[in-house]
Amino acid sequence: MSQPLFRSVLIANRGEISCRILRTLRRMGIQGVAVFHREDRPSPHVAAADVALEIDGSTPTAAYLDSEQIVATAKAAGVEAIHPGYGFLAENADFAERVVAAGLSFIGPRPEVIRLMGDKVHARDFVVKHGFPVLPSVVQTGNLESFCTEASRLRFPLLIKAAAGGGGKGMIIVRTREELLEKAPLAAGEAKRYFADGRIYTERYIERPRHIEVQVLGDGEGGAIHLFERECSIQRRFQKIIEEAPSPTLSPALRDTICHTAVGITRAARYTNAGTIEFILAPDDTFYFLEMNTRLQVEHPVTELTTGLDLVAEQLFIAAGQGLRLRQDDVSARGHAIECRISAEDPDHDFIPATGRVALLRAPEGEGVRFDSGIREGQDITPSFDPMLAKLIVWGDNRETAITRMTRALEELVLLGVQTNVDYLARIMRDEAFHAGALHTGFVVERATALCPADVDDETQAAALVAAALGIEDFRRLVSEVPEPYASINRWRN
Amino acid sequence: MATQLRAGDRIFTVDLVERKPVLTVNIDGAVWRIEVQAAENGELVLKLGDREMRAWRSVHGGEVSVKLGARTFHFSYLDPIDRAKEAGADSNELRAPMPGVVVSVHAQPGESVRKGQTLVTIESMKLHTAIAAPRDAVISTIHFGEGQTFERNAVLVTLAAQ
Repeated sequence: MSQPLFRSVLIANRGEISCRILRTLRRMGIQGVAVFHREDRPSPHVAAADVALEIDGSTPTAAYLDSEQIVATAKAAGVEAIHPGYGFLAENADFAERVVAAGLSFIGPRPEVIRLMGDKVHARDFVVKHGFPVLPSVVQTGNLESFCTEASRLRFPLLIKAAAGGGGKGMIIVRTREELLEKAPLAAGEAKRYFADGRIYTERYIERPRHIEVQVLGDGEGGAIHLFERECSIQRRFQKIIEEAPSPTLSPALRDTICHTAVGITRAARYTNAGTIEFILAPDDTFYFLEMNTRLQVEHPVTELTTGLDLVAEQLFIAAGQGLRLRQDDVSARGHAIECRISAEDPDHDFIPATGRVALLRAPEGEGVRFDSGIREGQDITPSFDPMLAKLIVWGDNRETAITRMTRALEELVLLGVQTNVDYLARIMRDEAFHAGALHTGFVVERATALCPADVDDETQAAALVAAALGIEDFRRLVSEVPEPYASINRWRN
Repeated sequence: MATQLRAGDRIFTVDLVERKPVLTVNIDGAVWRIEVQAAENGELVLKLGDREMRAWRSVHGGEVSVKLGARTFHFSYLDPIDRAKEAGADSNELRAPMPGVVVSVHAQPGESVRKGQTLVTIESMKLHTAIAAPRDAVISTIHFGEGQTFERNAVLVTLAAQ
């Protein structure tokens, strides 16, 4: 590469995605500028950046959401572009506008497209207008009462969602009219709390649906390609925990249809940069537009491992005005990739978030294993941020090889000091329904019994207890300091 | 003195029986002879008869985590001094399961509440959790107001004694 696309790029994010973007910037000879709240000072993204600048906020989250301060910081640092990562300001149209108004490049789509796709109702109308499939639905336009009356005319069960929502927050399934009347106000309350917008809408709920999404790239002028699909049906509380590419059970014809539908929507929106079109796939192979995510996804690495592309690099090329480097025919996918999201939570108690300290961290290694992490040993895991700590991604020639590699990598991963879902993910990897590819978004609930931890045999329990006890100073002192005769006599005294 | 470790609602008592030639412990009445060595990479190698197991361990305060094969164990060390304190702990206190912030308060001191009724809604890691009354009770004190933050195990609500 003769000349870098940008001299310097600021990443308006933290954690693993900030580290991930910094890696590509470094490889491409672009200066990487990180921002951090003081609570994050010891975080890896600060250490990994060429320049790290502190931002203020009443809470750490408030700092990363402060678009005015972040743009001012970017201007002062003299960067040419801002990458928003995912979460925080990534899908905030006002932020994108502010970035552009400051004379900087926003590494993502145009503000008006973010705004269009960020409002589920408008996005849905747009997709319908262009002739793509969506689920029958009712949008709240007046009060809750008239909404419930109209919604009752749809076929139950229904899914209630926040109009401005995302990330599974405030979504409720209702199976009867009575349940609808009871739950609609709750959904509106949650929508108001999470998204500062109390409007809700409802659509027909597909039983045992699968979540299939397509990675797309657009040039902003109606040119678009897809990088194939990802299956993200393993979810808890409507949030993905395992993603894979390709989907294990799509027929080639259906894959082709879904991917081309995604490209059609991308073209219609004259979409710029990387995005994801999410679909609900019903058991009868009909599929419906769910939403478009106007950013890099958490699960983008599975697409990278199967296509061999660096999505952040493609984003930079597009943002620098070089358009699409690839034609559709240039893109091919090989083998199978799986990603597991490693989170601080307790899967055996309703996935309640956990806090603690990363006291010991050993990343798995080996062929086809990638560990995208934003944590380091000694770091406190506080309730300030999302519980996702890292992502483990593997690649294999086929799905079985990938599952075997993931199982081994999860066993090798040592992340102690805070409760995580690592053991739970390993149990999914050994689950027969998962092996069979019998996936749907209710998998975690339906397989709950099969996914419970097995009983521990007495020898293993004893070994674990001794290993633990030897970590306790009082016990260790007993073992090392008790004079020998007494150590033996102890047995008789007791 | 016996060492007590708690995992969930189970308490294990580990008694040192003999330290040489082989570490011998009595765990809740069963005697185990376990040879323990530290590998170069920091892993513990534990031998029980013919079986060899490898374990990673971390200790943070009184919390001990052990990864043994594909399985992770969490233990809390029950410090004898804390144990004495806990014996006198008040079952009328509702404590915070995690650090966080109070989102809303749904009851007032002096109010009679029913078992299961939400008293306080807290938020930790972007997740809302309802703190509910464990029994029919009268509220004595609500310790935090809306927007106030608290640490794990902080007393959120005190119920009047029965």
